[in-house]
Amino acid sequence: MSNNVRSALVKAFNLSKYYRVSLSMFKKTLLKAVDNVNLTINEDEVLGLLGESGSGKTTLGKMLVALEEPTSGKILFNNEDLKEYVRKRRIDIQMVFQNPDTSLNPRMRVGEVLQEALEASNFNGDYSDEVERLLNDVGLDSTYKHYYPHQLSGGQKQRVAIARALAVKPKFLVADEIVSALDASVKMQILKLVIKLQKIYRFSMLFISHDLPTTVYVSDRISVMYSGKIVEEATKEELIKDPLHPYTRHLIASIPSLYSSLFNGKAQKLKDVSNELQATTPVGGCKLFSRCPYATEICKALEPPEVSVSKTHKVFCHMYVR
Amino acid sequence: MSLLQVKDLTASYVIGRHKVRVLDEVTFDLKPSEKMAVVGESGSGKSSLALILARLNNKALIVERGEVLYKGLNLLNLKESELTKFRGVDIAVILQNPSTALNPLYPIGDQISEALRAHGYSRNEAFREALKLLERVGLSEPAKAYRKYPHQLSGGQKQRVAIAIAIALKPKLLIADEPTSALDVSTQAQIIALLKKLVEEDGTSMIFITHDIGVAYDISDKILVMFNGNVVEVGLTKEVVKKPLHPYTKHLISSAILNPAENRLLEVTPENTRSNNGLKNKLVVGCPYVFRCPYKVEGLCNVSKPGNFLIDGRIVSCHLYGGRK
Ligand SMILES: Nc1ncnc2c1ncn2[C@@H]1O[C@H](COP(=O)(O)OP(=O)(O)OP(=O)(O)O)[C@@H](O)[C@H]1O
Ligand SMILES: Nc1ncnc2c1ncn2[C@@H]1O[C@H](COP(=O)(O)OP(=O)(O)OP(=O)(O)O)[C@@H](O)[C@H]1O
Ligand SMILES: [Mg+2]
Ligand SMILES: [Mg+2]
Repeated sequence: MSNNVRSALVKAFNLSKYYRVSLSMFKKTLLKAVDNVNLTINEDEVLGLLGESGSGKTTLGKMLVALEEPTSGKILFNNEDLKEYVRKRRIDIQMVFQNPDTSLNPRMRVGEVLQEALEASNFNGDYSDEVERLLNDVGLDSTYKHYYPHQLSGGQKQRVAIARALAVKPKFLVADEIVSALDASVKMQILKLVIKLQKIYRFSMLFISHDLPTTVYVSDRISVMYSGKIVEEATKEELIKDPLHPYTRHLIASIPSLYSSLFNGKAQKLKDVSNELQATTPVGGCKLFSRCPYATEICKALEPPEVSVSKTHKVFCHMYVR
Repeated sequence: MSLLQVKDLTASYVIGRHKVRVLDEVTFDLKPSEKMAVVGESGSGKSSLALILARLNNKALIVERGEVLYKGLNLLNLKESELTKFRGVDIAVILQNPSTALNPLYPIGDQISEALRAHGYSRNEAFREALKLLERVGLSEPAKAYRKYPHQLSGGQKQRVAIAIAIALKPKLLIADEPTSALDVSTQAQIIALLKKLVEEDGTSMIFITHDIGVAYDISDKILVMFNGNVVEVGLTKEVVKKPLHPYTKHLISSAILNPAENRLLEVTPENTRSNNGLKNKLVVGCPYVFRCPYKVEGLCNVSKPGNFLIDGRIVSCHLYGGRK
């Protein structure tokens, strides 16, 4: 893994997505699902995107594969405007979702699903051979091409969804919580599979998850997201050795102790405000203000700036400004 | 003295004219204030076990053999009318989805009061006790929370209310089936800490079902590992995690833990993964794990079911340990 020779494949500048949501019959408000995010994913790189439920991970992922229109900001793919690129070569950019039940057509057999994907790409060979090879890639016997989705277990369906995404040899894959619904042993099989396939085909991947150990396992670099904003970004090694943002340390404190030995002593719980019926966040200041044990007046008033700790490690927090 | 003794519990689902075995001679016991985790993969029968222990199983899930002794009394022989005496007072249940425990049409406080009034509290006593309970499960401003409807709460807050209802009558045994699996990591950590604190304060025994060995490790004293309806290993949690004996337990634990030295996972104890991809193997004779076991002995493991061997205070059901009975 030599970071510096890789070139950028996906670049997002000041990316935002706002939703208008109603608070009551008359009151409406703007929900900032993704708020002014900058992000780069290099060629042949896995970027982990970590954050709690509602932090904006799926929304960000969908914008990067052009399934969702940004409210503002710009996305470049291969140095070209993403929308322009998609118009020419949609199949280079794929996304796999958490729940394979909703993404696989219940009336199509596994073989038909994969053949349809191959037909959409400019594949010219024997379809039947290629379908078998794809199934084999994801660890399924060729007899599974005759099965309908309801005849498969959750893990098997997820394998088919991955095979379909990879059938077209994408350059970029967004994997959105692809193992969250699976139990431990099936989860491991799928993770190993994804890592192996990434090493073979060398696509870039955004790996979305709320599970820290899983993200560490799969990713080269990790971005931590909270409430629509990236709060810390680092290589996997830096994040393990020196997690800086209070929210990152809170995530570490939240994982079962059996898995957290890796992050020796870097855990720090945030104030638990989930029991408060109405949590308050200051306008303009740091979104973590009411939960952070280190918060000061400046955190309430000003948005945290970007602080670079190393070439590859940055954190958005007033505490680290010098 | 045991609070709960389960002996040879064998149960099946009735599907049309067929029966499908779901629990096979499940045996364990639980002492007062003991916290036991039940772990195993999806479909291994954990929820079915919980349903039978709480006598919440419907007609499709039938007990074929065995006993569930609560303070020596076989719960399986009790009539529905006799069971109501036990519910809430002796045995209480928390399920994965808190919404199923809550009625969407009533304020949550009234639902807690109602549980108390059904067991002899006056209106006023029930109201005061409900406020105390809301505070105990960590909802600030209990008086305000009392009037909220379930849809006005987050998933974590709803699970707190479900816990308040379950512990309202200070049950002797709490059965929790994946109470945190639907929650996000940080909420999960809070709920686990809360449950642990509450049962320790009240001296309640707990059976905590989870598929996450890390969660089991933080919450339990004792662990029971299930595979395909069978108990394969029972022992003290710390010891089992440190030195698993059954090949399935070895696989389960090694596939969950990161290796600090390499930032990588430990080498996973292998399994025969081919049969993993197939449909569930239901077998009549032999060891339940034989299709996936890397250590299987032909002519032994596929023909006879291993007995329960006692090794260093641990129960292991595997032929590898057969010599040391
Ligand atoms: N179409 C929409 N309309 C209104 N609000 C939306 C819409 N989609 C998402 N949101 C809101 O935007 C925020 C971010 O949602 P998003 O699904 O991106 O989060 P996430 O990090 O993927 O969460 P999870 O881990 O639960 O999947 C949430 O508050 C969500 O309710
Ligand atoms: N109503 C039912 N009718 C027939 N079979 C059932 C029924 N409910 C469950 N089963 C089967 O019984 C077995 C055990 O199911 P159970 O729900 O107890 O597993 P579990 O260990 O709780 O799994 P999970 O971790 O997915 O919750 C599974 O093979 C399941 O398919
Ligand atoms: Mg999402
Ligand atoms: Mg279950």
